[in-house]
Amino acid sequence: MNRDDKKASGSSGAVGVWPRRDFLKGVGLAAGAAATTSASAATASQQTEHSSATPTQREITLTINKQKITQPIDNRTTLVDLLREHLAMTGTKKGCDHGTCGACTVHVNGQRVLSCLTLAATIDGADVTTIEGLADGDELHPMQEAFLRCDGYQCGYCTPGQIMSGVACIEEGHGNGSAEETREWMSGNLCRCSAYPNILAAVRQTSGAEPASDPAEQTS
Amino acid sequence: MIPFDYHNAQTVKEAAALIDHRSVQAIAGGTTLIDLMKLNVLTPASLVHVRDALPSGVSSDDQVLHIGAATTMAELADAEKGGRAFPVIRQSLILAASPQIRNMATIGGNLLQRTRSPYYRHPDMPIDGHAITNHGEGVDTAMLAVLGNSGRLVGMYPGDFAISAVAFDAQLELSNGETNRRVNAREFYQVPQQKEFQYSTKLKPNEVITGVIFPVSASLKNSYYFKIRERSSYAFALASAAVGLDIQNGIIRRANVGIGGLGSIPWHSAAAEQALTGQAPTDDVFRAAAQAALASAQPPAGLEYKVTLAQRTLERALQTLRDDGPLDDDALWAMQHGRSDTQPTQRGA
Repeated sequence: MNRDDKKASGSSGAVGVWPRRDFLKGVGLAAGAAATTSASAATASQQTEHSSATPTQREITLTINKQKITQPIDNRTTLVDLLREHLAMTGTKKGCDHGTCGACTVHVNGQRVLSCLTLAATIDGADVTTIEGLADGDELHPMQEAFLRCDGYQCGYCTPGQIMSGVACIEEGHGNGSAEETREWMSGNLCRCSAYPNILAAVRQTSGAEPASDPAEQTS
Repeated sequence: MIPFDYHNAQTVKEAAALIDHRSVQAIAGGTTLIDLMKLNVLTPASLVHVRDALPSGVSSDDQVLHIGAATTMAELADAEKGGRAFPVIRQSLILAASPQIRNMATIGGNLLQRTRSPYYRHPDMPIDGHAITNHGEGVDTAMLAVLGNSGRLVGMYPGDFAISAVAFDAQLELSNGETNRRVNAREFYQVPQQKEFQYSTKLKPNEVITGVIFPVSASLKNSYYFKIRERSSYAFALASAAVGLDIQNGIIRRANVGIGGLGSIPWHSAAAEQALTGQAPTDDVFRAAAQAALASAQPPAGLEYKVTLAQRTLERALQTLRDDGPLDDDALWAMQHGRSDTQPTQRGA
């Protein structure tokens, strides 16, 4: 029997092959069960894994955007995955996942870092600020306003990282020197749409190095 | 990434007792380690977090500069008694990585970063224990070593700060938590031996780097780190030079020369220093020093350009230091970015 024969017998529901309709039902049931698994059941299964030969689970506590959270995590969990996958805070973006693009930039204890290279376990107890924590209710952070005003993006994927980096860049004192200085201190955030002139304008306008204006209106 | 155990060490002794640098590895900033673990190039069974256990902070006097191993790249670069006092240290740190990475990476970890060669970074590529005899088709060879390669294809040491460390004869403090020892940075790194694809170090199992000590000298104060890369910021060196000159009465009393982007280890050029010392700082002397520095180069096919590039990088670094003295940040950006626009950018201009 060659591979094509096998496929044919499978579609006809032959003995030994799971009929497609039943298979899908099974998958649906399993998915539903997983979705409704209670928190206590999840903890129980983690504890089971924990007691096996390779314990890889732990619980960490972080203050994220002024809210304290305690979360069980696998040792391998990076901060970006903790934010996006465990806490559904998808404002922080995963770009390269290897520390070369800056899209995942967040602040840890007041300093900008790459959340993709930050093992969550290593920052237990830390204070984390993400893009979701910048605005005050409906009132945007001045850097967010500046990115809107200056159109500091095209696709917008790098924007949360650019904004978090821009805020830190100013706090570090590199936002109101020469344009060249700010360019250098923003160089850890790549933008494939190459919106760099407008990103630079947004950072410099927020720092007060340039008056607030729409760069497009300067175009003659 | 494969599963691993995790332990947060509170003391050097506790950390050192666990760490063997193979199955049990130290993690501080994690900027190299997590990257390579995601690629399954490094697969430790256990990680020991050492950032809280290791000393951090920067101090200096007329004699020595002392740096705790857990000091971040950013902290050292900005320290009044560190990077702000010694230009080559600040420059080799702020030109090395992005601000985010400099906030994370520690000095101890920075010294131990692995080669960026794709031969090492891809798990399908042959690594340690398997000599590479041919270029893989389409593989970027720019990260292969040109100096200290014994004529073989081996990975280039990619860091910048370590180039300053070997150029200015720093010592590394190593500790197992009970006994401490010092090793010269110039001896700490060992060129790859037979079948090894990259450098090894004198770090023993159950030993960690706890500090770095630079002797303070006139040339450390009159110093410069010049870096050539494929883009003007945030990239590894194609070639770089850490240089220091102590010029008195028109004669070079002391010279320090390190070369980055070429060596299998952070490359100290005693030959260049010898060619400079006791001479007048002329272009001809600089050229002779640059030629001496690269005399032992064995470029793999396609990397011949790096020999010329490194010679010109070193010459230009020496000329800049002679003509302009230590550069401030603005002058550094102008040099590195190739422009010195201090005006706000005007869109559509």
